[in-house]
Amino acid sequence: MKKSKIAAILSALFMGAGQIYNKKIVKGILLAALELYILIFGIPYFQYSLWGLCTLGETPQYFVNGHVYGDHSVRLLMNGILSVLLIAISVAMYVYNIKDAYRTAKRAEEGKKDRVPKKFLDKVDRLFPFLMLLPAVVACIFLVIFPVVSSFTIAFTNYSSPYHIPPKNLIDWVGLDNFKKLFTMKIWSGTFSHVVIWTIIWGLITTFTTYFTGLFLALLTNAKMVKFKKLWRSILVLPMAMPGFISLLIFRLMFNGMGPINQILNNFGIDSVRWLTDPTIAKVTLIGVNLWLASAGTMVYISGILTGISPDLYEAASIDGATESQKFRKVTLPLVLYQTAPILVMNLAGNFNNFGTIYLLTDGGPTNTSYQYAGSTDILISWVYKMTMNVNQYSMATAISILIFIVVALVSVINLRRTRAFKEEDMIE
Amino acid sequence: MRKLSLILAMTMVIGLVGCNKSYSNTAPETEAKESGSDVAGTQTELKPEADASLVIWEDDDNRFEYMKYVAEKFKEKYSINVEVKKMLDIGTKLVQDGPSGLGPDLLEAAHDQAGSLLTAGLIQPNDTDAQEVKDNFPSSVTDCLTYEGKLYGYPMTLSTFVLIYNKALVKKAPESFSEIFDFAKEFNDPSDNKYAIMWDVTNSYYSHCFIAGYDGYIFGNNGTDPNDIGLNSKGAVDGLTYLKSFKSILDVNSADVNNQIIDGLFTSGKIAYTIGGQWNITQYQNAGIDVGTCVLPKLDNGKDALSYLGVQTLYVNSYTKYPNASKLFAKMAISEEMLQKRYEITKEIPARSSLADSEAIKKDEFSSTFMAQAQSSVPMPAIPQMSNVWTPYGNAMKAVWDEDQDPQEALDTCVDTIKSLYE
Repeated sequence: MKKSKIAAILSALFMGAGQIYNKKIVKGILLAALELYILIFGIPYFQYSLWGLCTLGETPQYFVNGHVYGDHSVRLLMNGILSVLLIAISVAMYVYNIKDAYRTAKRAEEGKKDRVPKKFLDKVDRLFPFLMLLPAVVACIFLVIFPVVSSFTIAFTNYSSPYHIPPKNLIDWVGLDNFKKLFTMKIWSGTFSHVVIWTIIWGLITTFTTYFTGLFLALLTNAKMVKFKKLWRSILVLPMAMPGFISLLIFRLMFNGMGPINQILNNFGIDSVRWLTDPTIAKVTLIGVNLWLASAGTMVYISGILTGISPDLYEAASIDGATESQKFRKVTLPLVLYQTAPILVMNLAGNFNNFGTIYLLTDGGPTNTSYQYAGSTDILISWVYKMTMNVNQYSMATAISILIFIVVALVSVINLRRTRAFKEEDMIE
Repeated sequence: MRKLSLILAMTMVIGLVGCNKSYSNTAPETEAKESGSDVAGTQTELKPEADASLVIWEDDDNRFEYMKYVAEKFKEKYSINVEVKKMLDIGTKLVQDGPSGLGPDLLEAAHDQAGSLLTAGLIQPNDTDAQEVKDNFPSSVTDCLTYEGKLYGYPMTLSTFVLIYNKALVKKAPESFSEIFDFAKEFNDPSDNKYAIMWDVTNSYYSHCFIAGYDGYIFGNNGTDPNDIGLNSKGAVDGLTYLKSFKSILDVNSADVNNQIIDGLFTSGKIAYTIGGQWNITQYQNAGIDVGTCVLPKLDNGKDALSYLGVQTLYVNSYTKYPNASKLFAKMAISEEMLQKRYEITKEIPARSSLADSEAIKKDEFSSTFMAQAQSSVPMPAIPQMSNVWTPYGNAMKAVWDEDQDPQEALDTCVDTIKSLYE
């Protein structure tokens, strides 16, 4: 038998054995120690966590002499997912160990030089990139993948009030039941479809209104004929300088049915307007307030782009006899759009989940009794918030979050990949 | 080679899962046996754990003072250290910290908030002192704290709401709500935001008093039967219709009536009556208003409006390390002497029967009103299903008040919504 095969089989039998056979003693001992550790401490923990992950606990809470016993389903779930990640890492190490033993022996057979340098410092040099990347990989696994996966799994359980809230009661896997309910049960699907439609309208309108208002303001504050540019710009940036939630709460008081705005209207003999309590007017109010709040930001970065456009282009256009509107359409707009398209897409994704504005201004209101725990102006994310915070419907809320995630991720990925800013180095030739 | 290693790895993992052993967290055999004797109720006097020291979460300044007082007395008697911590939003914090053992040993909460703690299994049933509580507290109180036949917590004080009025605007406390309707005819001036009465109309906490006055109820069998929601019964519909009649003297949109608006208008003398609790009175007095209180007046059907009764209760955390010491502390905190002290500090109505007739309460203008109101009140259901009632119930009120929806239709929707979460 060839040495490479022997090394691979040895490593498959016990991690590190093949490496020792290849005379890579330190590596071999380290790998063997890892396997020993997994066998002694890892296996019992994995068994326990996988049992927890499969069953989500078997004994509901009970008391004996004031001491509490029983399983906590959510903890078992988290623990289970953590150990699945750890098992995946162990398996990856195991596969690497076999491959490594095979490859090293193979190189020796083929008479190639050993790739690993002899000097210690050179060895460190070779490992350096891996050492530097390690913290990022660990952080990615435990701070991104672990929380995302474990919250997603909630959508496939029945974690909800009143009968399935741990630690008092156990929760169970229910498969796709929550999604089925969302699409087929009338009381859920009715709310869901209405909220989705409003979320899409809200996302599109807010993104485009703030973008074009910002563009308009930027053009105004950069126009040659405008005096005191800095003053106007500073005034327009003020909404950004104040914390958004404070402005929103003040708007809420101002738009109150008995608030100052209606009082002023009344003084002019105009009837009160139901700014926040009529479903349609409330939506318009929301879009208006969001415009006030967010267009300053767009104005600032479009201003930056405008100052960066070479005056030569305009000069050349003038010589060719272009009118002001032609200059805008053929020079300014394409250059601005080209540079801001990625931001526009991210804004769209952000506005889909613009929780703050909705929550602080209308709190999803006015009430709509035909909706399940949602108001007329609730977008998906504020509906999710209400379901988790007010009625503890965690599983349904996560199911909806997953749908939001899929939509937002798809839109972002497709758009970003089609945006030229990410493809071409240079548009101006 | 790759295939071989993958197959080997897979078999390892499958081998792990294949083990069907149970790892459930159950009580050790010895403890389970000991508990056998408790069931009969023959347990002798509790002994505090040797190394015990307790932590208590408390949310309010005055109550904090009281709890510290009890802690001192407790230390004198058992020489156990008790730390009282001021904590806001106790319920939410306990949900996070309770199961990991970072929570307190005892905590104070309103019994209706405890519903969600109960659902989550964060508070212990009161097994050792149940009889003591039943003997010394009225049944309206113990009903509030009973769930599935078990008593939870140690009741301390009662909380409810009454009619509050501005003495500068109102000469004599009204006997019935129709008097307020008459008063409104001359007092109201919507262009100046002047209204005879204003309260958070579609907050079901307050407005349930009208529905209850017309024999509407939430959950049958004294608020313990989750399958009998009762909110679309004839009584509830009549009550809601009556509530709607207030719109003729309070023509505002429900979303525009919030606590900030009400407090602002009341303290500037623009509204004469409001519905509120102890906390509102102090606030209005501080704003320089001569505040008067009376029990909720009679409804058009000649019956009393029935306010919600809440019980401020001391609960033992499920995850306490010192259950015995905690229970001893709670028992001491609800003793006659301590609750008398609590009344002196916080002015809250003691729940204990023996203190109900106390001279101090009778003499106090506000306390006596609250005491009288507590007599014509309905306990707020404490069952966990209650947490799913507030939003749909309030929404039904809003639909009727703001959108002129038919009360029957609105309440039918409300009941359907609540039921949809049951399976």
